[in-house]
Amino acid sequence: MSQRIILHIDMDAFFASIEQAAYPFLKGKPLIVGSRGNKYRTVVASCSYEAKAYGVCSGMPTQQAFRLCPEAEFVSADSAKYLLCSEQIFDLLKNFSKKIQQASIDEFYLDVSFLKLDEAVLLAKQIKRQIREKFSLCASIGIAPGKIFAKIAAKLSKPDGLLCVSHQELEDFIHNLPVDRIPGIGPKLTKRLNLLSITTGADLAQVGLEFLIQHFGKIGIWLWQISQGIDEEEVDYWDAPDKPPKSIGHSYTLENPLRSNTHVFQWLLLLSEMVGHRMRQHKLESSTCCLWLSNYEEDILRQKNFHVPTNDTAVLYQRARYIYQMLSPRPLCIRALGIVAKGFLPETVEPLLPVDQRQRRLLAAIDRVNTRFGEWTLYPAFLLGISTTASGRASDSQFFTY
Amino acid sequence: MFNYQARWDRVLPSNKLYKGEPIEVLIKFSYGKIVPLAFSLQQKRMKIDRIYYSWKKRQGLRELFYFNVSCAGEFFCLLWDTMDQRWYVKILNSP
Repeated sequence: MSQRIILHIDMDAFFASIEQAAYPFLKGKPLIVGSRGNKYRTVVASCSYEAKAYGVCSGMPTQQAFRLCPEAEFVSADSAKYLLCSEQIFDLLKNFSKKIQQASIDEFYLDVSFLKLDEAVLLAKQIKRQIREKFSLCASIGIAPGKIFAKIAAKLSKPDGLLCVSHQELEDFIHNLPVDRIPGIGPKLTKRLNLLSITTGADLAQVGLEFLIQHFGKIGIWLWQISQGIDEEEVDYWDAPDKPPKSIGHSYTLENPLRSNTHVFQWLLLLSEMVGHRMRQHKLESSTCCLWLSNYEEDILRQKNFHVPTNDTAVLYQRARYIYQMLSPRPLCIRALGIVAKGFLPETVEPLLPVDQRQRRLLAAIDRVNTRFGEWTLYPAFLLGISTTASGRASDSQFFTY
Repeated sequence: MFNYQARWDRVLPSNKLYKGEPIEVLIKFSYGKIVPLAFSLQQKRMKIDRIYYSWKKRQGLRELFYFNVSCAGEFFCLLWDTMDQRWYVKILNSP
C-alpha cells in the first residue's frame, strides 16, 4: 500500500456561496442556482445549505426543487464568476505543493506526501482558513493515502469539515463505507452490487477479485482495488503541459422541448460549431461522432465511426444530422441534446483538394474573428432566431453556408 | 484536468448583453486593482460603501469588469467595458 498523503479540497455549495457573496441580500436564504435562465425549466446546478435543508439537491429539476422549497430564491448560473474564483483558489493552492490537480470547477487534489500526517492536517486547516478569509467561502477537505479515498473523506466531512484517514485507518474506513458512497459507483452499479448482497466495502473485500471480474469485467478489477485500499493514480504537477483531450462535447438542456426537425437541426449546428471550434483550437480531428438526446422518458445515445476524421463544423453537423435521421423511432420531443467528438487524430497538415484548402482557410478566418471579437460574432445564418425556447423563426433551408 | 473552455452557459448567438445605464465613476487604481469609489446616478452622487464581489468576463479581446457594490443601503452592479472604455450601472433589486 502507498504511503502517499493526498488532500482533496471540495468547495461547499460553490456556486450558491459565490452568489450569496455577490448578492448579500441572498445570504441566509434558501437559494437555487439554475443551470439556465428559466427558473421552472432547468436543473439545480447548486443550492445553498438553507435550500438543502428542504431536500433540494444538485441535478434536481427546478420544478421539483420549488415544490420542496417554494420560497427559495433563484439565480441563473454565471460561469464567469465561478471560473475566476476557481482560478484564484487554484493560484492560492500553488503555494502549498507543486503537485496540484483541478478535478472540476470546485474540486482540487494536492499531493503533500513530503509532509507528515499531522503537518498535512495543519496545512489543511490553513487552506480552509485562507479560503474563508480571501473568498468568503467554505471548503471541506479530505486527507487520505489515495485520491479516491481523499475525495470520499471530503464528501463525508461536508459541510465545512476536515476528515483525515491515515494509512492505518484506511482498511476500516473502506470496510464501513456503503458502496454507493464510492465515486464512480452510480445507482445502476449499486443496484447490481446490492443484488449480489454487496452493500459495503467489507462485502467487496470479502467476495474477492475473481468473483468481481466474473460479474463486472474490468470494473471488477477497479472495485477490488478500491476494496483493498489501492489507488495509485498520481496527482499531476500544476505546471505540467496539458494532456490532449480524449473527447470534446457540448450539450444543452432546453427551456421548452424541441418538436420540429428544423429546430433540432439548428441546435445540432450550434453544438457542432462549439465542438468544431474547440477541436480546431487543439488542432485535432475526430472520426467518431456521438449524439445524445433526452426526452422526458429516456436518454438516447448513438455513436458512429466515420472514415475521414474532421474538425469542420459543416461536416460534424452533417454527421450529427445523419445519426439523428437514422434514429428509429425518432423522439417526438427533445428536452436536451448534445454532441461529443471522440477518436482524435492530429489535424492533417494540408488538405489535398483546393476546395478543402479553401474551406480550412475560411474556418481559420472565422475562428480568428470570433476569438478577437467574441464568440458568435460570425455564425451560420441558419442559426438566426435560435433560442433556448426554440420559439424564434428559423429558415427552412436544409443546408447552411457561412 | 478540468477544462475552462467546457463552459455550460455559453452565450447564444441571439442573446444580447444588456450593460445598463452609462455613468460617471470615480475610481482608484490601487496596486494594480481597480477600485470604484463613487458614481453619479440621476444627477446624484453615490458614495460606494462596500464592494461585495468583483469578477470579469471576456468576450473576444473585450474584457468586462463587474463590481457588485452597496451605496446607502442599495445594491448596484457597476460594469466597466474595456472595449468602449465606459462604465455602466444596473440597480440590483434582485439578481
